[in-house]
Amino acid sequence: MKTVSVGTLESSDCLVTIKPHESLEIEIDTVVHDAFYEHISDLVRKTLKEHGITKAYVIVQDKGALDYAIKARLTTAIKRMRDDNG
Amino acid sequence: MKIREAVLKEDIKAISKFLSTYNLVYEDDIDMTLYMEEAGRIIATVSSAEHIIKCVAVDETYQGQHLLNTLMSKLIKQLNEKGHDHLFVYTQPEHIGIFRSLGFKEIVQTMNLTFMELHGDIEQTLKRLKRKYDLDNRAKGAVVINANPFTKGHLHLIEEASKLHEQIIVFVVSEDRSFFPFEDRFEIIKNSFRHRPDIHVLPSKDYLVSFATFPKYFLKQEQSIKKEHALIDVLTFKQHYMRIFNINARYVGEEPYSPMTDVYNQTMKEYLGSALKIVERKTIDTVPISASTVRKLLKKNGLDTVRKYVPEATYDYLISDKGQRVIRRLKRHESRH
Repeated sequence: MKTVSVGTLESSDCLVTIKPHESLEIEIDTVVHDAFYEHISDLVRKTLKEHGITKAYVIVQDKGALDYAIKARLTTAIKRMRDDNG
Repeated sequence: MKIREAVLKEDIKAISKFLSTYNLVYEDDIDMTLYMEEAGRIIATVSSAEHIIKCVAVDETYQGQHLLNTLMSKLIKQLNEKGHDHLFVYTQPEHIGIFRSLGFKEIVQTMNLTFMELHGDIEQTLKRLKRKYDLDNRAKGAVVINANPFTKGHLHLIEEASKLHEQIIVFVVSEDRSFFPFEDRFEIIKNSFRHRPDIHVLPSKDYLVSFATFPKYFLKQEQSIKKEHALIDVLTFKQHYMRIFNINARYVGEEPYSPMTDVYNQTMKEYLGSALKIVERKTIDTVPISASTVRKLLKKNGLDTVRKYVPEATYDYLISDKGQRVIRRLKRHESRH
């Protein structure tokens, strides 16, 4: 299994990294932690669930991205991981 | 601004020159370098040697524009492609802020350097390891070995330690830059202690890093570089491994010959104090046993001469197909750690 990173660390974007892992672990590092940590965390969990991801180490490094940007980055990462790993 | 990868000698030369204005030296072991330029001038660069980030610099007039965020994003993806998904950096303490903003977390800090990681977490990793190997909270003794290959010297060290502790953890260095691959080194040791429930054989994970990839460009004298590397390694062991696994003694073999390992042992003594136990090296026919002696003998004389220096599990491995392949490789190569 290969690790994939999607997105960038540039302002208003986010870098989503998914690593193979024996359980589901989520790490969210965001510049808007106080106001939106819970919100982003829910969004990430919901998106992972939609794609049936139960085992992965997911790292979201958020630089102030909007909801749909985070969701798009995460979805792409999931798809790319599945493509790469057949 | 476009990101480029340095491939030509001229690129590297220009980058070395750029780095030198910030008192940094382009290191020999770098295997990837990205940079940005404007009007034909380099304005930012990052490099890596395997999974270690090195030689990071941004032109003063461009600082504060987050060029590094762009460069790092690209570098992370390229390193992922190469299978490096847990990254490290050694930086000067005054630059921690920059690396934190890129997502790096501190592992340990000395007066001169901070050791940081990205896309991993030492606390979680070690706690997970502890659960996976079902270790309890009783006080334990520990040994850290590369075992390239596992010898009767290592066996002696571990057996001596186990006389004084109910539980022993043997950390086998996970880093794969030795002749004998990690998986094989690990298997041999596990086999050797399969009847000893008190001896737990664990991988060291990515945190105990060899001197080979340690950056040399921060410090001037070789002696102080070795010392600094040893210090980072020892502090990582003390502040994380000893605490999480409840280790109260670390056992090492005496090092009368290798000055490199000796600097290491001295540093350990300074920082671990009475928790460091030095065990006299085992000798056979007055020859002190070491993995490097065994490798030399394998290279020069073949299997029969090493039999008395290695435990059964190692010998069984050496006569297997896998072992034979490693011996052939050993014979073809110049000496290497």
